[in-house]
Amino acid sequence: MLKKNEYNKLFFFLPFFVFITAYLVYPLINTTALGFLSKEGEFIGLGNYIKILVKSNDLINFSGVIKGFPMGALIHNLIWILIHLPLSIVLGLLFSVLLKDIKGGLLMKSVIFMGMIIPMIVAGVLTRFLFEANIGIIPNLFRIVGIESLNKSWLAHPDTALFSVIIVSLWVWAGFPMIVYSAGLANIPETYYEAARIEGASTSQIFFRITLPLLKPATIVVVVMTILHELKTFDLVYAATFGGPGGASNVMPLQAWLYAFRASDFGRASATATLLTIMIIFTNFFSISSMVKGER
Amino acid sequence: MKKKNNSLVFYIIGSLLAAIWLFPIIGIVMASVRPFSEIIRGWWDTETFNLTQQNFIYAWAHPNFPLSKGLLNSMFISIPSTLLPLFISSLAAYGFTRFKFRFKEIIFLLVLLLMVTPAQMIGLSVYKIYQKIGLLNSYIGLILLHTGAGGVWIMFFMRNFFSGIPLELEEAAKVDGASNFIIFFKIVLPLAIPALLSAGVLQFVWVWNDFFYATICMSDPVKLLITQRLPLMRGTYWVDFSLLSAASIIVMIVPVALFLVMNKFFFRGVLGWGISSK
Repeated sequence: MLKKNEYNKLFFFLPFFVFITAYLVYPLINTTALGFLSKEGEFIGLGNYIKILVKSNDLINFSGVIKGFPMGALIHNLIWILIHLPLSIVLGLLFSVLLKDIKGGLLMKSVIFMGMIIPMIVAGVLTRFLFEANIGIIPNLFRIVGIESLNKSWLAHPDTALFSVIIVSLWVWAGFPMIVYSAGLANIPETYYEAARIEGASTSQIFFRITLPLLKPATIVVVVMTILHELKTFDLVYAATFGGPGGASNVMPLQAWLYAFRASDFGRASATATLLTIMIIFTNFFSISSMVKGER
Repeated sequence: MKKKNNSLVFYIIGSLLAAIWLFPIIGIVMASVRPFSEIIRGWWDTETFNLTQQNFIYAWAHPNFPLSKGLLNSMFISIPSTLLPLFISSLAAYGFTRFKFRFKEIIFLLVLLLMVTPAQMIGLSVYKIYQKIGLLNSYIGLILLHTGAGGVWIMFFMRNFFSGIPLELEEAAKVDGASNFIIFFKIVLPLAIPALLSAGVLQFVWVWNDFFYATICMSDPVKLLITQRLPLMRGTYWVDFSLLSAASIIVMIVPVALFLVMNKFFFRGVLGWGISSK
């Protein structure tokens, strides 16, 4: 029997764990299990995984990888990470260093952070507005500089659709690395810089030898959260291209949704969601451990 | 002297980049206040320039998917979906900060790991269950889902805050015979108001902006949330970007206004949340 005091301690945890169990633990187990069932509910082992990874081109399209988009949702997600992650880090560093001590810096940071505040579904509509021929500013800019091949509706062409949503995703996300790096910069004591200057270090030496290494904890946060963002993006693609044209900008979360609510196949949908979860765990584990190793 | 030169260059490049970031927003504002026929060669084309409020009126009172109703629905969802997890997660966060029990660290770590679960993993199973027990198209169903999905990061954020509060106050109260509940509600929660505001504004905006969970739960046209109505506003054969821009502004006005008033709380919230992955 618990003492009265112990008993009321339980009540601090009870509601929280009821919710966690119902909405996180149970779905994790159940969706993983659903991934082994066919559309009709029979156990088919790894059947769904074979269907989505090998027998269809939805996630990996080998001929597409050679011939051009669509390359499959999984490959698109990887391309997304390869382009978006380094650019997010660079932009976040750039903004945080540039806007550190200047007048109006907080205002400018707020403007850049606005992308994080507006709904992703609005960002999707914005993508259409920015990249549409005639009306959009991006095709017009390419017309002005004379690159006619990019003066077109980017979202209607398989070779540009994915890149348009990645570019907007960068606009959306840049505020996050900026804020994390700004906090990291504020934690570096001014005396470090003074000592370096007295020793005659140049600005770039100070940045690469002092600032950057001391920002490593911030970088780990940025990398982990950015990869999460990249792999979880759904609304933006839904509103901008709906994965099209012809699947050329499809991503894993949208593919899972399409399987479930367009093809009514919760087996393949669950297998896709499970695969996505495994990718998230794997990439995060990989990035954290590689950075921790680098520190030693 | 050298430092001053540097900061001028920084200032120019910084404002230039901020301007680029602001540009898309300027675009939709310009498009929203003009008739679509005027902007078909771009919103910067000012050959004819007429201001109109027609786009906003039409989006607000859209014949099939009025945003006015969407705004109300989103309020009905967002406010309880903020208060409920704030309350239950703070309770648990306090427990994880102050109580001693076996396997606490491991349990805490396992709970944190749940945070990376993608929405699809959660949504598919929740949809199946809701279908069975009749919680689809129910506000309560969606509020409970947001509470479960948002609870972990709020718990972590609040624990970060609670572990910074000195123990003395609580111990003095304990000596006076106050129970854990009294201490929590009378002493700890009032101290935590700034942190609760930070977590609260972030959760509110997150729920307001959510589209995925809303699409999973709500399909009844009358009950659609504000974010769900936006993609439905584009026409079948052509896209009226003036209307879509006005609609976008209505959809984002609440979170943007909240951000403009409370930006410091947002930044603090994001940092507490970001550090969560350390």
